[in-house]
Amino acid sequence: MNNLYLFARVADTGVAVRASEVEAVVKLSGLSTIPGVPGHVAGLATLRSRVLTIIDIAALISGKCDPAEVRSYAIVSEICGHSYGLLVDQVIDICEVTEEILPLRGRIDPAWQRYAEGVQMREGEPHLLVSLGSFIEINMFVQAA
Amino acid sequence: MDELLVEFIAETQETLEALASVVVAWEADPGDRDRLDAVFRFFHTVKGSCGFLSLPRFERLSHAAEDVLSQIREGEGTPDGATTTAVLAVMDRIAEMCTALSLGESLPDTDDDILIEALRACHQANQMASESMALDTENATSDNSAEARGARTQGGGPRTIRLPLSLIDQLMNGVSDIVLARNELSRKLREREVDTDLDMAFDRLSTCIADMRDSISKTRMQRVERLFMAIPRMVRDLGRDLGKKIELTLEGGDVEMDREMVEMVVDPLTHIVRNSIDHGIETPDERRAAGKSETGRLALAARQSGSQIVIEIADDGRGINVDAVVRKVVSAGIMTAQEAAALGEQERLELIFTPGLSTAQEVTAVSGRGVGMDVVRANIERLGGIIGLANEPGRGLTITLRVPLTLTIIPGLILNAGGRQFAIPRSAVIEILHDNNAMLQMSHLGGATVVTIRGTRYSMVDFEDVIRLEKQEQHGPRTVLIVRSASGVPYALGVASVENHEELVIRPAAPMVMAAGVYAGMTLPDSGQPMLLLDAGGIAQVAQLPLDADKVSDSRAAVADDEQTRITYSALEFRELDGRERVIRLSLVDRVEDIDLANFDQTGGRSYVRVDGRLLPSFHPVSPATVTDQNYVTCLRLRDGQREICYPVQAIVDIFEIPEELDMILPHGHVAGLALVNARQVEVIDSFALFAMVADDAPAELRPLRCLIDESADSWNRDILAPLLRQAGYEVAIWNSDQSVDDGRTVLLTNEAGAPDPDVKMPVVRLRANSQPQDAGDDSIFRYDREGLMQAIAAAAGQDRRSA
Repeated sequence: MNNLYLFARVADTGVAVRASEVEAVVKLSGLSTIPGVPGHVAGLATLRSRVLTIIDIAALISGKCDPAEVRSYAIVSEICGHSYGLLVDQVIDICEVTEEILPLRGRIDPAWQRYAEGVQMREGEPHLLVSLGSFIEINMFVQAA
Repeated sequence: MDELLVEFIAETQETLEALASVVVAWEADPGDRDRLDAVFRFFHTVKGSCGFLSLPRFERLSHAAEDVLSQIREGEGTPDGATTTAVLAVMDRIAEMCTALSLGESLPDTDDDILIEALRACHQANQMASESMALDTENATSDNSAEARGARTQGGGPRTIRLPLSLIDQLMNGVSDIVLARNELSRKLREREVDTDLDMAFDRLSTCIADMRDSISKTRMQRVERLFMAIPRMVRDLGRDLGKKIELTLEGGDVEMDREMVEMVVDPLTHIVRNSIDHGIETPDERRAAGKSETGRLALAARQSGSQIVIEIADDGRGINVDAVVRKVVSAGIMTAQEAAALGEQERLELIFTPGLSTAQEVTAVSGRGVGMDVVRANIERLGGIIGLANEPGRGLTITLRVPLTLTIIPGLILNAGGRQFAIPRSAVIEILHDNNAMLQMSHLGGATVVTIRGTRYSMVDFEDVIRLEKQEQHGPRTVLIVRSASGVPYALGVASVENHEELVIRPAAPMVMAAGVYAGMTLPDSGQPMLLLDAGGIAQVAQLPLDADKVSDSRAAVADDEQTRITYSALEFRELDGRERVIRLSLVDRVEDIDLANFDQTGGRSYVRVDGRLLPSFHPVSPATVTDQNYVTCLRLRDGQREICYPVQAIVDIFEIPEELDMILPHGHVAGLALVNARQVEVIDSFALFAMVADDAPAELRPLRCLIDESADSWNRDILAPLLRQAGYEVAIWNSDQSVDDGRTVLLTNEAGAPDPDVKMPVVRLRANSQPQDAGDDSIFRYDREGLMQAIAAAAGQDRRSA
């Protein structure tokens, strides 16, 4: 269980997320945007009777906000007592990985630097190991521009 | 930290809180063995527990106190004021040490000896004085009775367990989830075909959920006692410091309110009590001179009234010297003497809430009151509460706080701004107006917008501008809400429209959303569309509105002529069986009477009541579970001229004049909308809908009539006209222009003026939005002229029938 990872693509980058952080992956429908908040807060969506705050990870990385409708998959996670949905472009796989986490090599994009913890391999492809919590905690109090 | 230690600290702190009032009562009546025993038991327990927890300081202190108390118990001397003070000091020290222990800090222990010495000295002095009085026989009897009492207290009382707060919050959230899931299910069920079995099962589920929600909400409740706990000690200490004698009575400690609410009310309440003792109640000399008893009285009472908790703080002191307050307000330059002279008595009294008045030291020194009263009021209003004053100069002051029972489920208004929906707590909204209302003047000055309503100027901001949304094109007028800012000064918030009102379960929003500063939380209303709750205070700050109180006075004259132009009628305010307060036109009420509970019955889904040998329809079903009194139900007997219905209520509240024109039209069941009464909003009964809803034996000829509505896109047609017609018993459908029904029972309603379309063979009723006809030939009917409208429909149908 501890070796279970979710692999996804966000902003043209493969990422790996520890499955213990993931509550579910859902296809979003009906996102209501929130006026007056930073662009990476894509809006609110309902998952059954819960309200998710949807975070656009790509916008956090690139600083640009593309319309969220295109990417309709979100990873649901409970972080600091709130329910979040983190938008991803594509969910590739959920599988067990027995290899050790590799250290980062090469000069990584500063935008990713804050979130990346290491590298996890899947079928010979490297993926950045990220913690979902870090996306939220680091950007917790960013004011609207 | 060690689990045992945590338990010890929690228990000790809890007992200490409860004991504070016991000690004060014991001091007032030193012969009271029950209380003495309670205090003794506390020290005994502390001593016992800290023995094996190895807390030597606790042990030494409690041991000393126990010693002294046990001697008193054995009759060696009676406790006097000095002894109780010393005992209290030891208790305080134990409390301090508990806090320090839980925080992992240490407290210097140099004073412990002084405390213990003081305790012993006091006791010895008074032991000598009373030694001669100790009588063996007395001891013997009182000891026996004390034992008997001890046994009783241990056996009785409800059994309780200790739970972490987080678990309760979790339960509460779980229940909110269930409620929301239920709402979603209910929506899904409505989309399907009717299945009676399924509906019944669902109804049963709904009832269970509602019951569970009620009981879980109760776990969040705390007895008001907790709020009162610190009061006796404070009264005692303050009274001693100021040399005043005060008799304190606490009432209604068993009333329950939300734990969070208790925490929020503690500060304002403490402030008011402090004021009462400091400035209200006079010294014994002054009281004698004024012909009052030397001991001042301070009474705190709590009771539940509908969905509110009412806390009354009454003293028999000197009251507020209104003239002095006014003089000071004038001399502080807050208003002129002329302005002040124009104020009514109650308004002059309420000047003590004037912000800025409190900070001026010399003002409070003379007026006696007003220390931070603006802050107290702001705090209470932030909770959605109201503060009221009843002043009797020279005889006392009663302050009434009304606060809602809970914070998590609140009545909210759903607004539309920029094409999106938002919710706002109803308690934050003072008034709602359309921007084309004649009472409202809007002016733009150097980019700022100011609205003037009844002579009061408000800073105005459109919500779309605050959150940078495009304003959408709309047919009707926009809506202006007068809302409270954090400082209590109201401002005007412009939105596209107010759509609905609903009970909302509020959840905290994510920090990133809260950072915007304009949101207070989020909610999932029955529509299933997640929605953000607006923070009225935050919006004012984000919009950088200047929120200084305007001169109160220039509103006076304006209000006077405004009142002349507003037509009013007498209304009866009553409390529904579910606790809500509503008003109904008094002229409809034939009489009010108490009817025997046994006379109520239900048949075929309808409720009836037997009165004077007849059966009258009862508006609500009445069962022993829904009423407070098990014998009688107070009923309004309503009469529309021919029919009579019985409206069971909990209680009658008041009668007053309310304006004919509603402040907001929000048809919802048998409620027509909201009216502003004494600065709070009450729901006004839609008498038309009320009678229509019990129209079980309505004349048959009304039934087959069908109304077609033109222009379904117009929200007024859809949301206001259609429900009205449905309630009046008409069948309602939307008209598409190529359809022409000529079956002799269909009437077309349209907003369009001009000659009738020759293709349309149906009778047509035209509606207009203006109250005055355009010209003499205009046969249209003002759309809020309900009687005219109904007559026109009936007439059109009748005419058609004749021609057919």
